[in-house]
Amino acid sequence: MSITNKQIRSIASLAKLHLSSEAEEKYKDELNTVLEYFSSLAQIDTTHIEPTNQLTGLQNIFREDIVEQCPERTHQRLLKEVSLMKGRYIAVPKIFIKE
Amino acid sequence: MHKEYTEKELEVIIGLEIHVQLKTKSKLFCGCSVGDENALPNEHICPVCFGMVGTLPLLNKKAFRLAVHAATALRCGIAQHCKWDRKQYFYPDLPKGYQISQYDEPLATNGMLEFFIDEKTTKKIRINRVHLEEDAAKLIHTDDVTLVDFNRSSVPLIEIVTEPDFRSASDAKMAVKELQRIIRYLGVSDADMEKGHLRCDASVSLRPIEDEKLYPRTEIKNLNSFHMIERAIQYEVARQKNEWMKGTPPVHYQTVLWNDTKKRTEFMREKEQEADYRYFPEPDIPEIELTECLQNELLAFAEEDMQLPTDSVKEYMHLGIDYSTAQYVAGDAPLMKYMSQILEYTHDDRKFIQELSKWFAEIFLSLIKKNSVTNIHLLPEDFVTIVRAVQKKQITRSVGKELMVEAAYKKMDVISKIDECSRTDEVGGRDIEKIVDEVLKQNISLVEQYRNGKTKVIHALIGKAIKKSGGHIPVEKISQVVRNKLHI
Amino acid sequence: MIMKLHELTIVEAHNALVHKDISTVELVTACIARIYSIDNRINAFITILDEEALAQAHTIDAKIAAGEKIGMLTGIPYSAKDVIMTEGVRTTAGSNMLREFIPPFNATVIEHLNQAGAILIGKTNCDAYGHGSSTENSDFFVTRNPHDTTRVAGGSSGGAAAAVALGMGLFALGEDTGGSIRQPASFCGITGLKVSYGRVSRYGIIAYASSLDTVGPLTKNAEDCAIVLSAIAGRDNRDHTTVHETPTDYYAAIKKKDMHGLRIGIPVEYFTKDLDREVNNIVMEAVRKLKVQGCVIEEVSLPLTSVAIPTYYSIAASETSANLARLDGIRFGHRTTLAQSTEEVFKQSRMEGLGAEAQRRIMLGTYALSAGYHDEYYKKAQKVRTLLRKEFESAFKKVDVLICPTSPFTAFRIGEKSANPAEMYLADIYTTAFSLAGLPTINVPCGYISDLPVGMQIAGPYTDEMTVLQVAAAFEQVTDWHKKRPSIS
Repeated sequence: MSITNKQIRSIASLAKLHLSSEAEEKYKDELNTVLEYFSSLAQIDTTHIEPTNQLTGLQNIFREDIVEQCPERTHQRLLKEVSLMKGRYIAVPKIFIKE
Repeated sequence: MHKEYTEKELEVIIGLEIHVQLKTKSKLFCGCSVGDENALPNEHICPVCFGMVGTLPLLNKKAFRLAVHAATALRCGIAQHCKWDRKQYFYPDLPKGYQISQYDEPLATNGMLEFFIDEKTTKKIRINRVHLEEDAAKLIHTDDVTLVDFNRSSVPLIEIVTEPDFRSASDAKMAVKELQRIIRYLGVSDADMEKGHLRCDASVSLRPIEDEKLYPRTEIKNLNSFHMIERAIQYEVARQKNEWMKGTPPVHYQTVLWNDTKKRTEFMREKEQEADYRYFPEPDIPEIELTECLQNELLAFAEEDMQLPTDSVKEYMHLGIDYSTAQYVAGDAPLMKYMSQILEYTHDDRKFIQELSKWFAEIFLSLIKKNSVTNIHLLPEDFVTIVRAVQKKQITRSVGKELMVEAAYKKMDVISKIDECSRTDEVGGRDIEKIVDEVLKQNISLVEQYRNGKTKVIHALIGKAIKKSGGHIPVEKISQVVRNKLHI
Repeated sequence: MIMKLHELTIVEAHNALVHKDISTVELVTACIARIYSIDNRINAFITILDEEALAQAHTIDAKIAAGEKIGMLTGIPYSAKDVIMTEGVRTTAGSNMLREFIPPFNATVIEHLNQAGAILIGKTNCDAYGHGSSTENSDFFVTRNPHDTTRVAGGSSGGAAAAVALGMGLFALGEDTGGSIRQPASFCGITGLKVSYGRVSRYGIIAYASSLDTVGPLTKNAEDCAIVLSAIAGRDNRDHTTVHETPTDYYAAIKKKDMHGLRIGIPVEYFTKDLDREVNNIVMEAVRKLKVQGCVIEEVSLPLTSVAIPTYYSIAASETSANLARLDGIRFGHRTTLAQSTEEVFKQSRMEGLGAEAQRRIMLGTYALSAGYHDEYYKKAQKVRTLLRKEFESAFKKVDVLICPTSPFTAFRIGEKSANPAEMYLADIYTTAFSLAGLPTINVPCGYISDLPVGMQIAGPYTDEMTVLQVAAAFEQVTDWHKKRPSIS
């Protein structure tokens, strides 16, 4: 099963990556090579096998519902990393709802 | 498909997806504060809910507990095992680029919601699932930019998905009202729609009656009030009916926004199929196993034999309380407590309960609408005493009413007061003896007639005395006094 | 002092400090001077913290002078891989996206080391986000191998390994997802431990693959490794995937084990005829040294070894595609100046900030998780992972540890494998299976081929770092490989 250009574009769109047409070709070839190598996975019989979602075997780990306010210093440092703010808000280009 | 259907041939299919903000102190995955209405933008944020690199989600126990509570109330089966999943998409209100939600192993499935559509009828709709997930940040659109406030990011939500069992907009509205009542009654959420604690999306489609399959639906988002739910669904049903009747039924799934000012839907996006959210199990949160230990912890907070408001309504009506009063009281915990205390003094006397119910509806409700029942001084036993005194004709109905209102606002010894009223026959300064004397003086011909054997005229005399007394004195009393005076 | 201070082990340095043979300032100065004298040829460091480190050194010297008792790591200079967040200190993850990023908090491991009194002298270079086996995927520069600067230091913790090998700090913190501590340790001739998954907190680690990432020490020997591990291991309530068993005092117990009867498993699939003959011989020789100490050697079979790499990459790429989604330019990191819409902010910022390998893995991961392919790649890989874990569990019923090479070859030349990503992925052939099972695995230097180091892996059952360290220590007692340093001057 090899990846098509259309699929590459669709993946890039999902991942919000901007690909030039050369990059598109290059990634397509590279991914196809990698996926070919992955085909060996299909040969392993995994009938009735559960996937490993978690390694530790831990379960039911919770945090108590207590307010732990972020320290002022951390809060300041957090917002300092934002490139574009307007007042106390993080600003992004205006989002229009399609009519 | 070119067939032009008539309205009668079409069936309306509606499903709802409701998001409810849980009443916890802190967020779902971090310790930031929730529910601070005076918060400044981006005040309650931390590296976790801000989607900073290097952070990990820490699951809030109370959020889980409230979710299970709500799901139990909706008669769902609670999963023995559940887990979290990452739902991936890019949007400025989603700091991690994925939402932590539950996909294929939600915490509850297969429930039921019952609600009254009128006095005699309830409807039951099926709940597909209830799951726990985090909220996104808030977006504010201005003229030139969109602003993002992360205070709401990662607030705990439950998502309740119904089966497409609704067949009318009004049913959908009533179901959401009932859901709100249940949620509030349990203390799971304040469920204030204006504050966004309860949000509703409706999916609408039509199909020819007898047809079993489901046709492409329109999902209506942004329904922020009961009015909007009903209006938007009605609008969409009408719109789709038109299409079917023209022979051009919808062929695409679509998502629309309801514009309440313009009273119409606005196209948001088209989806040929479900968006590719690339769900996969969340590695950072250990899974949940409903062990005996965890179950005990959850049960410790749940009420034994939790009765839903609808069941309370049925029980009240069975006892003799009228539908409207029953609906008003059910689901309001302090009011239910008051009512149950009243009922303790009724010994299941159905007629008496019906009488009490009338008093409740006509007088008491307006009192508690002005002032919450917890601020009312009138004790339940005194409520009963007043109604009983009127029933026994110790005092008139209007005296009883005045007494009830007075006792509501200030503490008083109701029993003594009733005693006083019935003994002195003097309410509002009216002397019964005087009244009857006056009436007999003014109606000498009637008195003569009575003395001459026409005993039936006594009723006319009594009637005049009642009129003169202004209805403040019990009929029996007046009748007694008139008879006494005539026989002297 | 005949030995140069940067050549000391943690134990030696600690004793010297306690006996007041040296001061902390002298020790830190020596390590920093080392950076300034040779790092221009190596490129191990992205950020150097000389001023801050010296200030801390002065403070510690004052404490020592006042008679305060100090811990094993007090005053010991170290470096941290640049995926480990340090408050107020630039942390780049080797990526242009985070080129100017200043974290608002410290990683838990940094907090632990601060408390222990260790002194951070710099942040080291790595393949961006841990994506790589050579440090050639760093957006900034390649870290060169201290034994031969025309060759790679290994990856992704290449900077950390080179730093330790050259005494630019007495230990380093690295991060290992599929081999990223072990392989560079092997290429640079030092000791590097991948801990059991969940042994050390991931809070403050810029995530690569959430179900695989571990943080661990790179040191000159097993003893030093045990000391650092004791300081950083343990349950953290900011990371719910940290295991609850209280870690043992690794340093106290490391030399106490009697090797007699300890069963060593040699997985045959790791020693096929494809393996370089010399590497094979060096590792087998090392195993023989352990046999002499009383270990019992046994062959075991791990047939699923052949699919470890596709299993690993399917899962790792999938998880990284999700973990890097938060790098969208909105709240931190590089943001493009060219966007007219939010969509463009995302795409343009990511195109400008993310390197080719990061983009490639995101593409691969997005594909592996996408509708229609999810079951075939991601879910299938997670099922094979279960089988791999069971395979190890069976093996550990028969043996106490497994020993095999860390890398099929010694350090390759810069540029040799970077043209073909698939070839680079194959370099991880021996390390990934242990990562998938979350097993504690250490690289121990055990020989040289043409002056290039060869390392062996010692792997133990889940959460048994103790046995792994003890076998490593036992090996060091009868060999000198761990004492050999690069001849660069």
